[in-house]
Amino acid sequence: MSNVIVCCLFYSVLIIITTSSTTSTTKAPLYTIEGQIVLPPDENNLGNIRILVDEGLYIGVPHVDGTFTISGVPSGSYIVSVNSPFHIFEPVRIDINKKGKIRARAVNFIEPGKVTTKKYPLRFEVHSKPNYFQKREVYRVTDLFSNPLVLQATLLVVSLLLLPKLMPQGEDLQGALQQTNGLFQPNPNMPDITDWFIRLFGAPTRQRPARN
Amino acid sequence: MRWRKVFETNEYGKIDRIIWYDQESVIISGQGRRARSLRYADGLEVWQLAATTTNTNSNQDTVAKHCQVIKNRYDPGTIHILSDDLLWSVSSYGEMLWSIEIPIKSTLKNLFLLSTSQYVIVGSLDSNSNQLQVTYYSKQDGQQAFSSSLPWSFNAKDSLNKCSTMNNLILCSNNEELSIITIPTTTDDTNVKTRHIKASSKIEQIRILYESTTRSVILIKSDNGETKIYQFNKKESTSEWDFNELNIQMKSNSFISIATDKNLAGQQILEASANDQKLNFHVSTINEQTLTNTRSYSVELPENMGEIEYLAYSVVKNTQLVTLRMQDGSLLVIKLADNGAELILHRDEALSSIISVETFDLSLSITQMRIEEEFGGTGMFSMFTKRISSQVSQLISFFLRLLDLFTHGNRNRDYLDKQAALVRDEFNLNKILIVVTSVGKVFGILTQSGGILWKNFFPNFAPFEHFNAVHVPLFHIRSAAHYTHEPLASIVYRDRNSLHDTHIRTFNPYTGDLENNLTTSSLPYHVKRVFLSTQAVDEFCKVLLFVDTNNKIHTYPSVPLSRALSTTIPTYIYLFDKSEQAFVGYYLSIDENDQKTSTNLKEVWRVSFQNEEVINIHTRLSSDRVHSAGIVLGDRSVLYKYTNPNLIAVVTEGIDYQKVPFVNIYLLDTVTGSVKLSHTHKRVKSPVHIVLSENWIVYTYYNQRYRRYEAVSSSLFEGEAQYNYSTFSSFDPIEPVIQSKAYILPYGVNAIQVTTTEKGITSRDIIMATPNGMLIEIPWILFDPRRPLDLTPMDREEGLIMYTPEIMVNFESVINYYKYVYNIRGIHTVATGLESTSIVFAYGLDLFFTRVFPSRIFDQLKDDFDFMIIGWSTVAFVVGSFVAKRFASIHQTKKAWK
Repeated sequence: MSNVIVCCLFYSVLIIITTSSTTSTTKAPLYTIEGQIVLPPDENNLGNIRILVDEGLYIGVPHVDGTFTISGVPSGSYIVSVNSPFHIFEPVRIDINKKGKIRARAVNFIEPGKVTTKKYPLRFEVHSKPNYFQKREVYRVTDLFSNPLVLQATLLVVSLLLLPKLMPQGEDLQGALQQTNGLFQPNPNMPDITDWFIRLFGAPTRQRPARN
Repeated sequence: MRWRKVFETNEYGKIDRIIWYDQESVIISGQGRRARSLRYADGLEVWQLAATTTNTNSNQDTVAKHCQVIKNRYDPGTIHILSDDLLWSVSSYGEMLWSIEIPIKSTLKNLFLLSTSQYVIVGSLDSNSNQLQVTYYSKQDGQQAFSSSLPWSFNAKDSLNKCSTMNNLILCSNNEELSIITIPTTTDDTNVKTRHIKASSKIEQIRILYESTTRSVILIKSDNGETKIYQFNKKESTSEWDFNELNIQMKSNSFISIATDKNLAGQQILEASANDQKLNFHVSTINEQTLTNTRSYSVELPENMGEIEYLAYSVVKNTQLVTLRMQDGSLLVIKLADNGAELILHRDEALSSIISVETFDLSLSITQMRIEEEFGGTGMFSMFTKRISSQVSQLISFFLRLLDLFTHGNRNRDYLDKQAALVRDEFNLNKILIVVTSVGKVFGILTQSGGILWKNFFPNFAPFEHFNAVHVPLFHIRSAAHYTHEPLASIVYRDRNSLHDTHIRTFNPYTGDLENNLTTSSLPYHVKRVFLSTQAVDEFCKVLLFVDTNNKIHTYPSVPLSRALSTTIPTYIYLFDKSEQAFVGYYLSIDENDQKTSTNLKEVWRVSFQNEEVINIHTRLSSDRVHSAGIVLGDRSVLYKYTNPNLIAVVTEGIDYQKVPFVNIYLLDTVTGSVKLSHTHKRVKSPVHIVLSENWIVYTYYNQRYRRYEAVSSSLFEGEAQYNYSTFSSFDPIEPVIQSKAYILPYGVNAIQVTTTEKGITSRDIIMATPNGMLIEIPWILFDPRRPLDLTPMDREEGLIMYTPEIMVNFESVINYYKYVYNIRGIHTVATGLESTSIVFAYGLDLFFTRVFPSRIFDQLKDDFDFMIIGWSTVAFVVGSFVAKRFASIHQTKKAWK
């Protein structure tokens, strides 16, 4: 806990110093941030990597071996982030004190006072690869079985088939069942689309049971 | 393009000079504060060096920092840089040779930097005694060797504008005279010699065309258009130079460049001049005092590009190449060969400086127009006949098209495709973007391909100033909805030479053709503000309304104000007074029978800001639609939104009595002048990016205290009851209830915007451009100020998400995928014919266009929708039902027989 308080104090002091020093013309020394970007050996494409200090206050370009230098930086606290469309790197906060001593720590926006120190000179390793695309849904038969609705439906069908067999074969019940079955029988007064089709396309009429 | 490196947008990334070597180039940027070397092969850095100290002073220098970079002619691997008070030398292989500070005062400025084989010479002007102090520093270690002084007649500012350095010479123009001051190069010789060249009239410009240790060529341009070229030759074993004039007859607007090549006998001089759409070149060899072997070339340009701004001539492997930058920002590379000149590269670099964007719908196709006509009738009978006739004509055209397809096949397919590109598609997804750039070039861009349809260049262009930015008003005079008339767009800009003159240019957005009746260069008043009329006047055209410096309102073209503005709804106008930092509201009283075309404005309110400076204002998009008047809460009651269309957001900046910087955000009602919301943020840095839409505002800033980017979201509500459900008036006594929440952003912000859809039913997404090159689409519900700290079942029913301070950005919401775009300055969103779809156009250094679906695709089929499966399964069902029916009937017959 005391650690946090000390850090907060440190920042407030720093802010006061920076605001007061701007009122007079003084010479301020400038420092250099150094680090290295480590890419997987098979994709050694440094061409589209940029190093941003405080979201573009200073911009660095990597060297051939992945190292980089950002020079001409006055003392203060900065976020160094390595930016590439193909890789994700974790940003690092850099504190350069008045004497030019540089220390690095993890970025924590929610608790700025919390300190998790990191190595300096900086070393950026690929954290993960960005996934810009949602996976397209493909129709698979296995998906059908994992779908809860389908499972529910199959359960219903199974129970529909099994339940009558499990039931006692009572006469009155069968009658009742038949009655309920009657509910599902097609209404003879309803116009039937098949009849309509048959009539329309002139199918042989002798098969119709009504004629028999 | 092989590679590209984007430097900082601030002063530190501004390139001062590039020195070219064989394998890499050394780039000096940040006013001589940083040197970095980039390889040609892959653009990777070889080394980087920077100055080791800096001045931290708050009192802004009146004279801008001055920087000079020279490559030592006697030792090409050494670069000397003079940046204000710092003199440093670097070698081309990345070694800082030495760095010294030269004290400066307000009266003592370091101006000139010269180099010899032994010394680096700095000329500093002492304005107290009007003397130029010439100090010699050793080239090896920067030790001061000795100094001398000579009388000087210019002040510091003039010296910078009128003088140039070349080898050990300082050339200064003084009205009709050019003074050539020879600075001695050795310690034995301290004699400063001054010689003069007379010109026929006042010298405007001196340019050094070629410089080597023994020979130099300069150009002197006078204000009467006369151009002279002098050749300087070094005298043997002295530091003095002989000069003579070259006999060249030149046009007043021509540019000169000189190239040398080992294979060439001498230098070749190229004279280039632009004439309408033609570039003329004359290449000659410099031979003592005259030119020989003059050859002429000319190239027809595809469009008017204005004058030449920059010219470089080079001979690479016996190929003569001319590189030009034109006034309209075009980059041209022209190859000169025996059989004539050839344009081998043309890039519209102006597209990186877009300041205004508008979108136009494409025109309806003929069939679509017929459909529109179909519903045009009034009476029952006429409607019926119209319908029948149009449907018959559609049928005929369909058969004609079929016939055409059979007889001609694919012969004129290309032409048809091109025509189809200009016709509105079914869902109005493709549009024309009209972009205005800061150099005065206007482009019409097709959204489906990104192809440039047309371009127009206006030479005397200067944009208006709008708070801390530039701005060009661009209006829809007549929209594409009136298919019988061509659509029209207008831009209003100032004259580059006389900033009080205003030009209006009206053009057809499909072709770029100017409409001369609505184009003028002379308005008899000084324009303060311009806006568009609310009502169309003649032939569906809206008119422009101008407020002049005397607070009088005018119309262009001149029509009575009562026709341009609604007489039933009162008109209020607000203006900003920069000197008093005040917003002033005016009332415009229009009588229905009044035929006046201009009238005075009546002040009704005034909001002034003390101790804070207004840095920006933000208005809502004109296309902003509010679909629902309220939000249904979890308990089935309704929370009504406060949707005031007259609100603007005002951002102010200042320093309070404790010397703490602060930023204030206000929501100002522009009808009544009342402030509906005010937020103060201490220790916060601008820029503040704002989105204002419906009943909410979202803005972002940088928090200096916690060193992070934050966003604040506020919503305004009327409450449980609505004051007036049919119309909104700013005079209604409603005190909006404000809810706010702050969020932490994972990245910085370059620009933000909200998606726009046709009816506003679709949920809103915030599009955010970040400095690291991403365009991120974040649902507004993540910014919702009503996100609860602990989630109750009622909140869950409403669909709220629990509050977390950090806004998590998923890479799936990056809408530009691997194509990162840098230095985005603005985002433009437009609705399409599909409610689910909003189009997004981000502009800045790069341009990016895409379509987004904030609520997913709910009104269209997916791309991979399988029509075959649906079709075949329908057929299978029909067949199956026949078969089943037959089986059923057989089964029933059998049952009946039992």
